[in-house]
Amino acid sequence: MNLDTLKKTLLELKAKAITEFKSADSRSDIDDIYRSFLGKKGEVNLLLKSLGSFPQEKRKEAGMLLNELKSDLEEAYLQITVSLSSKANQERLSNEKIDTSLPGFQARKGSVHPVSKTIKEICDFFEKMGFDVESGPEAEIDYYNFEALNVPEDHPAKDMHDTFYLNNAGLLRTHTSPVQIRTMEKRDAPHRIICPGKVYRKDSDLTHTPMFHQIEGLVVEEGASFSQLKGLLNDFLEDFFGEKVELRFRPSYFPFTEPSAEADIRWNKNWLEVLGCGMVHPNVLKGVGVDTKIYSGFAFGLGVERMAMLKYDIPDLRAFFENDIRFLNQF
Amino acid sequence: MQFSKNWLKEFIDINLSTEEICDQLTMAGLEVDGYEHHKSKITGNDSIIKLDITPNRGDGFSVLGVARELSVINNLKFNLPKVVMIDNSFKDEIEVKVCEQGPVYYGRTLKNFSINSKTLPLIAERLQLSDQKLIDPVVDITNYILLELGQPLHAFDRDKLQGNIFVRPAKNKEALTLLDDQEISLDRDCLVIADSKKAVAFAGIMGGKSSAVTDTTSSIFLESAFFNPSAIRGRARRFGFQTDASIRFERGVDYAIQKLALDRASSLLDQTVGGTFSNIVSASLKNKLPKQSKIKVSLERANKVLGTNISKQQAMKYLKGLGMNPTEKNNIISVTSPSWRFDIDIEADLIEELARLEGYDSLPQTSLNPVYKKILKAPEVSLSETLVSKGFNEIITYSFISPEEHKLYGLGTSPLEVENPISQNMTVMRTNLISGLLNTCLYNHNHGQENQRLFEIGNTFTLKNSKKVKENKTIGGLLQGSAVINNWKEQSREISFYDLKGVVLDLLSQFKVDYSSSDSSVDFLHPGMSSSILLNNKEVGFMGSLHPKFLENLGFKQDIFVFSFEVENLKDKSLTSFKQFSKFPSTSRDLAFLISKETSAASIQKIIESSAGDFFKGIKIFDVYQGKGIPEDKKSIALSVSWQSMEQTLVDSDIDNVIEKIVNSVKDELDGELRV
Repeated sequence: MNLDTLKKTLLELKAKAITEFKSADSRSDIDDIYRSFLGKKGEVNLLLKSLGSFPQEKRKEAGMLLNELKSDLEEAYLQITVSLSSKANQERLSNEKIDTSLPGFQARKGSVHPVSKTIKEICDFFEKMGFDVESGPEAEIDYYNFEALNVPEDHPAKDMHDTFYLNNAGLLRTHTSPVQIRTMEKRDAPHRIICPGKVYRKDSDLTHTPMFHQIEGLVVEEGASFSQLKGLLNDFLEDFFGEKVELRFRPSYFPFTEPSAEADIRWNKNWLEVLGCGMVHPNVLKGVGVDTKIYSGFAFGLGVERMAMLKYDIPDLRAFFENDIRFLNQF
Repeated sequence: MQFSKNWLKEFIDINLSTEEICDQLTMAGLEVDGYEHHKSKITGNDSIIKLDITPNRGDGFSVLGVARELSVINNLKFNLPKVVMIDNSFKDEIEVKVCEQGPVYYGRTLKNFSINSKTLPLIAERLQLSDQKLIDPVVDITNYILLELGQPLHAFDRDKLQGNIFVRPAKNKEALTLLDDQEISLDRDCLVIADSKKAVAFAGIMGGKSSAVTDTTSSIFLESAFFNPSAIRGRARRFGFQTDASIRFERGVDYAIQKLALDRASSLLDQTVGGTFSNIVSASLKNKLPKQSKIKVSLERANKVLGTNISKQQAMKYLKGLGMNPTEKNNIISVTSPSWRFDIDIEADLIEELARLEGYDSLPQTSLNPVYKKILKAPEVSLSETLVSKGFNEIITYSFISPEEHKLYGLGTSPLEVENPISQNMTVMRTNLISGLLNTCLYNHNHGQENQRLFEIGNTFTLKNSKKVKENKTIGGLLQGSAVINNWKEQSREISFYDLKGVVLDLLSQFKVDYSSSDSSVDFLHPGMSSSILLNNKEVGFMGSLHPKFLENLGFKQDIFVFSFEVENLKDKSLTSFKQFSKFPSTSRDLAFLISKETSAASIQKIIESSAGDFFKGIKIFDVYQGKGIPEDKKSIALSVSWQSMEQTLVDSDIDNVIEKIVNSVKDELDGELRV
């Protein structure tokens, strides 16, 4: 073979390969064709083997021609594979069209009870202020519910609490204040605690349920003052309602605080009572061994349902215990 | 307590609007519950003011007390009502003897009066505005004095009193028939008014029937006395009632006003029913009056607690206005509690008085400084978050249930009962959360809700040794309906026990706790579809499908799955240290065994685990089959067992020996056949 015939053969081979590539319609056909030209036993390799028959001085040029063909065919192969896969993608895309407006498969949504949600919102604020969340038993004894809180036997203040008594001589706590006493008995001052929980009073009408939730807060430390109490509650209410609220304090009476106060907020023009609070009565502090020469304290208590009703615009207290899923799902 | 605003003018010359007065009273601690305007034919424009008096302010239970408070707030001159003294026309020989519990007593007799006279129009109007019924002129006047001065008076039929008057403790079980025909048997700590023969009144609470004034009474004996609050407190309540008198005496009646009250009553009676009055008989034990010790307040401490800067002069002025006769030395002010205040005992009480007069609202306000602390997440918060993310609605139900519910779901525990329940279906404290969950499920079912997922976290109560209450924080849940929702593509399926178990295991997986289970003996669960929950080998709860009989009773057709377990002592599984995992691939083999229908999956798993060699990694059950092609007493269980080494890629020969061991063990121990 001389160079001219080689050139001719190569041209024919190239034309043939390209025609074959073009007529292929699957990836495997293309690969077969590729192998038949460029594989180990492919035609290009066969030609390479015949290079030996060329005279020394022409062999180099012949090799260059062969390599040129090889790279041309590689190029053609690449092109055809790209175009084929893009054709396949094109086809897939034109066949696959879904209605994306159909509903997505969302996970079912559960809900936290509005009372729990409100408790969490309130406790979150106080925890950030350094309060520990404490709890205590709901089945209490008279000592913790009344006596240790400076409510003596037969005192008219007991009328403020319609108590449920239990057949073991205990009672259902009427407020979360017993947790104060239990905590102060357990640990030494200073204290910052917040005590959420269920309380029970023998009362049932449109605005009362025999069980409801209270949160009690207590601060006992050096220099705890009424002005701090006012400031703290003001900050808390602003945090809870997410905006400034008009707040007023007025004198009230709780046996376990002195001075005692009630806090009202301005709600739709009217004053609405939301909290009871005051400086912890010295008798209470002395009873649990707090040195009143060093420490003073303040405490506050609020009704969770009432706060939730205000914040979430819930008109009926009883909705909290009806547990209608249509109500619950909104929280 | 409610009263006519114009009545205040008997004591003070006040010219404020009703709204201003109400605002002042509320801000001073005598809370106004409401007011309404009234046009009086006698006094012109008037208002009815309704007060909500706290138990510490007995002095707020009279127009006089309210007027005095307003006089202090507004710096007004305060006058006691004009009293025309009525001379005695005859002498009543009756004598009075008092005691420690009732140390002040005044009385006098009125004869020849005309009971058919009419109550004075102004008195009648004021009584009606105070919501007080008109009875007859004598009773009306006693009621009028009660409201005006806060002093309860009592009128006896003089002719029915035998001998002298004694204020004394009741004898044990002493019988007394009250004015309202109630027959009571008194205790020794009750106080009575007695004549020489017997008790004639429940002192400070209610008169007795035997000495009551009737249509035929021709002579009355009028009592104006002071009884110590401690002798009255709770006594009426013990017999299930309260009276206008007992409410005042137990909170404290001004112990210096008895003579004035009797004089004022005499003067009004004289104007209304006429008649002749006897001398005033009286007795008192001065040293048994409420103690009048000096109470001290350090101005420095008051200002520190209140965050104020009240000057000495200002403090003295406030306390003087309150009738406390303050004296001062080295910034320590000493006062005596006025005869009408029973809530002034200690320094803190005086600090409150200063705060009140300064105005709570004008006391300064400072922020509390936050203090850093580590915030810990309570286990119930993690539990709740997990369930909410799984589509459960949290519910809160009452802690008390009905006796019937306790019988059904109380698991035979002795009930912790409420002695004074609010209704018959709220008498027993729940021992678990099941009845609340079922009631809520039923309620929502009746309101068209299906596929319910509910949970509650709350305390449950059991009575131990009939005395001690054991209170446990418990979580309970309920699943009902189908497993997949919100999906238009896949078919939904009924939920099963394994959905329930999955929820329970997911809940427990966040805690450092060992879970195991055993057959349950919970009688309201399906015996074949329930198990008890053990944590660290202690039984803490149960899960299962509700017993068909219970379902039927509830009127429910679909299965209901419930769980309940105690959540005390659950500790968060915090990541303590990272564990290296293998870099080499794992190998797995699928094995299917024919075993007896009765054999549990857990037992075959256990056998495989113990014979699977060092490289054993895990087992996954992927099919359980009973039916066609399988003998009736057998089931097929298919498992995928996997192995992995930390050091090398395992080859077939590593596994083949172990498989043989597994197959042999299953055959030996369970008579199980490998299916090929």
